[in-house]
Amino acid sequence: MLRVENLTSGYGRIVALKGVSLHVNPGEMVTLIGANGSGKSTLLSTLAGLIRPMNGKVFLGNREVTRLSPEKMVRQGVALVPEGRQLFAPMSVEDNLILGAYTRRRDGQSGTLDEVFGLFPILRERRAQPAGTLSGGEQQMLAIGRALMSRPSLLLLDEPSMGLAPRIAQDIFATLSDLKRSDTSMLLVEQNAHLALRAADRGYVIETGQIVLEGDSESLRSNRDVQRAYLGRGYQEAWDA
Amino acid sequence: MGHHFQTADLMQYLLSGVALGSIYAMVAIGFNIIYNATGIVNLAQGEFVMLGGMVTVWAHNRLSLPVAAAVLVAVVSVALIGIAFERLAIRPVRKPTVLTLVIITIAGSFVFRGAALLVWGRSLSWMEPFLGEAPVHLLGARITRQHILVFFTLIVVAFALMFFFGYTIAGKSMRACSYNRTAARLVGINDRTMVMLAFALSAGIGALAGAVVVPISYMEYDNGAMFGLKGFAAAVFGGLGHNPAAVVAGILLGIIESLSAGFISSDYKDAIALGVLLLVLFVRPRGLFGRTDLGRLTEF
Amino acid sequence: MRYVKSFAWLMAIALVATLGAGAFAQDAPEAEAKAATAAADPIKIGAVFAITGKAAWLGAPEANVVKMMVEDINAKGGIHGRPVEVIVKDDQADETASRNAVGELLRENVVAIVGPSTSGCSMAVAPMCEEEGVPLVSCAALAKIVEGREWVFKTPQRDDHVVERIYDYVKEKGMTKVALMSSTDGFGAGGRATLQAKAPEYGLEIVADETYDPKDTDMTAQLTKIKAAAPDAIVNWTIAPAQSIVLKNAKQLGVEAQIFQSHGFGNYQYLAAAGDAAEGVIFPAGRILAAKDLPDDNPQKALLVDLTEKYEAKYNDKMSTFAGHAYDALQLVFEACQNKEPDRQDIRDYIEERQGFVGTGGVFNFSPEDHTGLQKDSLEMLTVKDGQFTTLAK
Ligand SMILES: Nc1ncnc2c1ncn2[C@@H]1O[C@H](COP(=O)(O)OP(=O)(O)OP(=O)(O)O)[C@@H](O)[C@H]1O
Ligand SMILES: [Mg+2]
Repeated sequence: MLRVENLTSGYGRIVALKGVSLHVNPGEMVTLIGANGSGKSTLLSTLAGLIRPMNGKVFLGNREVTRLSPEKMVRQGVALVPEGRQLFAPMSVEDNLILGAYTRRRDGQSGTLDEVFGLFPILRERRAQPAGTLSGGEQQMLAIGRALMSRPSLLLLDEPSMGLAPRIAQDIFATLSDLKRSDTSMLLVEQNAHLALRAADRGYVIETGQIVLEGDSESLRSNRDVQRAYLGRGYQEAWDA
Repeated sequence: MGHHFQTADLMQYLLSGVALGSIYAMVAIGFNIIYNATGIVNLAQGEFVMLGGMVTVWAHNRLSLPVAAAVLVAVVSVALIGIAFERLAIRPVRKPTVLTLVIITIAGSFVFRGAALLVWGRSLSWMEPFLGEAPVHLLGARITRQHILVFFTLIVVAFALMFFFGYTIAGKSMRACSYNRTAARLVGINDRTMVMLAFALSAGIGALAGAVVVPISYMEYDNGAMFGLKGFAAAVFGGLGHNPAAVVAGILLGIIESLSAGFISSDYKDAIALGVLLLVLFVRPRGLFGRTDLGRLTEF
Repeated sequence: MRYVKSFAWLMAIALVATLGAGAFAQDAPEAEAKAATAAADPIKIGAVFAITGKAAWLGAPEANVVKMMVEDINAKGGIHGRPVEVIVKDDQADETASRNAVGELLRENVVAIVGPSTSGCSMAVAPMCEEEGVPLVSCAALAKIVEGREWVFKTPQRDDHVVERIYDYVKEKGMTKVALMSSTDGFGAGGRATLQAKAPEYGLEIVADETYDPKDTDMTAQLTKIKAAAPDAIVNWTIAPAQSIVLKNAKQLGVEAQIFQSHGFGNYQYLAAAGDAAEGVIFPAGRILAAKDLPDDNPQKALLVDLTEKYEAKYNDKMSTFAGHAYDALQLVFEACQNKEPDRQDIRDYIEERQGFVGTGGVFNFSPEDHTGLQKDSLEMLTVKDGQFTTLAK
């Protein structure tokens, strides 16, 4: 599905990603965990086309898509749910969703709209309300829903649980698991490694712009360094586990 | 004379003001559209009005096109000029800041004025009113059909824009771009295309304003600045970026001007209009209808 | 830094574009005039006109007529066997630009300067010429330009004479209530002051006094107020297209008072723009616009008809009063050079003593007391009939 080779990227002279390589298989959910400032958002933004990489290659299937603009990446089936939701705040929930289907505006999109309302029923109730007035959880659902409206084959999610109550975060992760069953591949960035590693098939750990560890979720969860750094267990606790 | 005469005068001032203000409002809408798309104030906006008037007269008098066709030619060609301006002067700027871009639009206004001088010279462009000379008696006032046409053009433009921005996907994408450019790009909207569309739309509306006003005000190559100034005042008065507010503010500005000329002194009419504008901005810095709740920040 | 660079770059583009436009528009009279007189030691005369900018409709025909006159005189062998070179500068009706232009002309050692086109610029440069001792023949109307000055003359009819002619007519027709309208620029304000000052002398009552910006597009408010004051006559004083707009607005409102305009109305494009609404309007002007209506014994007729024909054939444009003012100014200088020496003092002295000079503006009689040379009979009362300027039948 997605193959990233030796990707270097950043902002002007600041290099935030230093030769990252990773892949996502079709239908797979892969998570990327790392501390604040380790380069997670930079990676997703680069993959979505918002930032042009300095070096390295990105492939979707057999096609190279390294320097495509975000507009073209959406048409290639890659949708990003950005950090902080980035909704069109003064516009209605429905308009936000309709704009999510911008690349498919010439085919009908009412079917997709119903599917999204099926995944997040609360959005149907709020369809006429300005997006900016939704609660945090609703906003996150709308952000995911908007990305789904383009019918992506690869969904990039940047910290969907950020700022949400644990209950709501769990609901959202449950929905993501449903999505995975419908064959959408996902690359999920999370601070909340518990949630992420439970939902994902595999994971990568990123530190200061470099992948330092990779493996299936099970092995990462039992890795002592991961436990200490990201699962919030003390040194002793991790040693004992 | 007596009482009746006075009310008739009042009506005359009001209606003259509405017609005058309708032009300001249309120019203000042009400012708003580009402001919403890019966050910049396009100081060449008045030049689009001038070009619209010039091209209409040229197409009608020189090419002998019927009025409607001449207006269409003006609107389309000036919209294309707007696109060219965006492509050639705005887009190539590598590190755009609001200030650089505004300065580019000032330079653009010089270029348009110079070009109009080259093409049409210094002579006055004028044409017959679209619907004849005879004035219409309305509520005790006498007003030309062209003045009424100007007002209706504004109303049609305002409703057409409301529909465009509220109900069409192109209009919604333009708004989306102004609310959140990154998010708009992420759903596949080409922000550059939207900016270009904004320039086309704004230039086209400016040209339409120029076309309907030219039988009333005539047009010279250096008339753009005056339209730009009054239109900008109306845009700020209503709250930059807010189109329905521009309609109200433009008409209010026209009425204030006309009433001050009528009841106070024509010496001070512009000063009074400016004074009211400053007063409003002092009390409400975002303009009469500027909203603070859904404040948007446009980066470019 | 980048911002500074792109700013400079843009300003350069804008500058080139406007200069390009200006150069094209003025038809490069300077270059051609020079080419025509390549022979050595020409007589250098300066000219400053508002060829581009807000008063271009004054300066452009002035520059045209000057170019035509230089070609003519050089074709006839110049003056005293020397070619004539007129160095034409464009001041865009800007006073600073005008002063700079005169400064450059003085450095070129010109023997005399014609222009500037506007009163403001003429007032700005007159002291320079006075100090330097170089004759200046202005093409602007304001009488004050020449007052108390030794080296400064002017050719257009005086604006106070225009006011007097209008008031003479108003009084003669038994009208007593006058409404004034004027633009807020220098021309309008000057006219307004004269109109106000002279009304009491004629026993006229000013019942309304309204102004507008020269770029305004609608004067119905002012006219509504005037209409309510029920004047017998309205005098509108401006040089902008506002002259035509006022007429249209007055027609729209059904204003019945007789409308007078200043001599600035003597321009065919404003007449055409006003259409039907211009019929019957009265204004005093030089005789050039109604040349063919003049009786054959009028001393100016031959000159006016001849000059109009030549000008219109060469430029494929209507003759204008302002071209006439420049013609008079330059012709005075030419004559002075021919009859005396092409020397600053000689030219000044010659013009100051010149009596009976038949020009386009009238028959000029200069004297040390009067550097305008014209009386109010140099003006003709004109009106508009069937879309044409014509003399007002008595
Ligand atoms: N727009 C920017 N300009 C310059 N540097 C930036 C910019 N955005 C991020 N950075 C820097 O790039 C590095 C990686 O940032 P990034 O946002 O990718 O981290 P992150 O892993 O997403 O962190 P968080 O978990 O806090 O979201 C950081 O050092 C950050 O300061
Ligand atoms: Mg991040």
